[in-house]
Amino acid sequence: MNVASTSIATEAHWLLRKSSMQAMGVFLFVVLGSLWALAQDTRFVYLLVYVWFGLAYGALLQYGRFCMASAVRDLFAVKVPRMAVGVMIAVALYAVVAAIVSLAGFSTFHPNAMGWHIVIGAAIFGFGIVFTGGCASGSLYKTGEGNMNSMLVILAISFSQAIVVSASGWWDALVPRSWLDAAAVQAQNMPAELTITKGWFDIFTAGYIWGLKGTTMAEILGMAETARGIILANTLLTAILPVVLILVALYVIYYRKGYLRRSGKANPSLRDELAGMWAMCTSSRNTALAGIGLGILAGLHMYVTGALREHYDIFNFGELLVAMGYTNGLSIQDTVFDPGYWYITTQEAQWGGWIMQKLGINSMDSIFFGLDNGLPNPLLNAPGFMSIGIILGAAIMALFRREFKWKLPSWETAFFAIVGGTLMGLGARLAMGCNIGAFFATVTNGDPSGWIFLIGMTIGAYIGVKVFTWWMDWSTARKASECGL
Amino acid sequence: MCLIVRVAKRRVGVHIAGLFDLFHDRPVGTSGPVIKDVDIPGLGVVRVVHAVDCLGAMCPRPQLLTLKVLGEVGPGEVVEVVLDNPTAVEGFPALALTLGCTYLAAVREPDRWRVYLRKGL
Repeated sequence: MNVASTSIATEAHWLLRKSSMQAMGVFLFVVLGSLWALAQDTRFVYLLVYVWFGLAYGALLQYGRFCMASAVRDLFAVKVPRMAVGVMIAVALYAVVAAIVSLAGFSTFHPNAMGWHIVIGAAIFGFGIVFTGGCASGSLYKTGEGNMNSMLVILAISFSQAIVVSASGWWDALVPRSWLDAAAVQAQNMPAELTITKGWFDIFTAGYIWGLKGTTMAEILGMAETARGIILANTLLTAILPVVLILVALYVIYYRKGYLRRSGKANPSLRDELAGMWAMCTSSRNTALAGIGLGILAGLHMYVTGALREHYDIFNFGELLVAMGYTNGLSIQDTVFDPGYWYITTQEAQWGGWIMQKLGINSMDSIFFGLDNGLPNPLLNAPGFMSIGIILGAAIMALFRREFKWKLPSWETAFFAIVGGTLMGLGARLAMGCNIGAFFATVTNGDPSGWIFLIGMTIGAYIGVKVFTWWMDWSTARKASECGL
Repeated sequence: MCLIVRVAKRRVGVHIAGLFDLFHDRPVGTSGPVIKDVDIPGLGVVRVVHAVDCLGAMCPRPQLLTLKVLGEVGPGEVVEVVLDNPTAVEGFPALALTLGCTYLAAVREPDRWRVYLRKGL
């Protein structure tokens, strides 16, 4: 690719530029903050693992402009497979590292419940990302680039999730009878402070989700916890094989024709086709490199957290918090949200829920916060710091590359950010995660439900692109008629 | 009474309109025909016939606008796309391949990129 780019103001050494100084300032801030936390209690190292992995994710996401929303959106909007390829590369590498981590016995992974909710939630999520211009992780790294529009998206995701999981009203009645009955049975074994038969999401969780099973491919095939199960069923069958099939499909549908025309091959041999696939995978070097880095880091993250859990002899960060004397905001099981791997949406729901709690809206009677995830102070929210780490990591990288720019939203983009972000929050809760927690982290650990999420997200993005294109045409036509053209 | 309501309404209206000023109110993603000669480093002087302004625009607007504009210009003509969204810039070489146009250059300026595309291979 002949990219001719000019560099401006090269008089100062790149390290001495103002933006590089600012980048180092942000980095120093994280270092000092980490040291301060360790000085309070060395056990905060568990939380700092999230911070530093977040920082690395953010830097890599920004470096590769790793926009996972465009992976599904651009296939329909402009028929470009660039990001879809990047995500598939990341999935393959994450799967390989995850296999090694699982074989070493340090996996922190839990399969998601399989059911119709995934398709529906993922479709709503996929519809939303077309309007927000980024997925949950994408909005974090774009916030790090100074994009305030993406900041709005994060706010919308946080609050819409917090409201979805805890609100109760006339819509509670919009559930099948069987969910209510099942929830009523479950309620008998629940403490009184949890009102699981009140609130739509509680009924949905207790009456529907708890009746579902989530398993890994190895368990389905009866090879659970064996090396063969991990390598053959979880890694090869659930991750690598679908990745290869999807890459071949992307090549055939989106890349092959143009590639063969450009390279002037009328009767391509298999070798030419393979060269074409390679060209497709390496066509955007930064994205491919970021995919490799993210895949490996995401696997390592599970290893480090798993090893620390072993070291402290805990299952959940909540136990460490109790040991350190912080008992506020824990769930009734004394746990907090602590996935042990890359995850985005749940901790953002906790931010929203925490603020709502402070405003006097009780959310702790919900299953989501009260029983499962807790509502810790954002300063003690370990995965929350991973999200902040992504923002700061992206800011450091963007500043170093002189790509940081404060960007305020226009009214139209702000509206889309809030509506799209709200839909993303709703979809992520219904599907039990976003494209990271419910897709990226699942298919790489042998849980096939992630592919269902991807299918749903693709359907949603397809409809989203249709609506977005219609909106663009309509608003342009309206503007043109207003100007009397 | 009616008047008070009307005045109050207008006050609120003014307030809300004032909030608008906090945000930039330039239209996002506009395009129009221009004729200008641009000196692209490494390529020489190129005549641009259409400029797309995507400053502040979120994806997929820049991509869709470019798609539309490239459909309107003639073969061999050059389109300029002005962007400040790094993620969108990254996708333009791949976009050019799909749209059957030539990716000429991305000129980096302090707070924006100017991407030049020529219709046709």
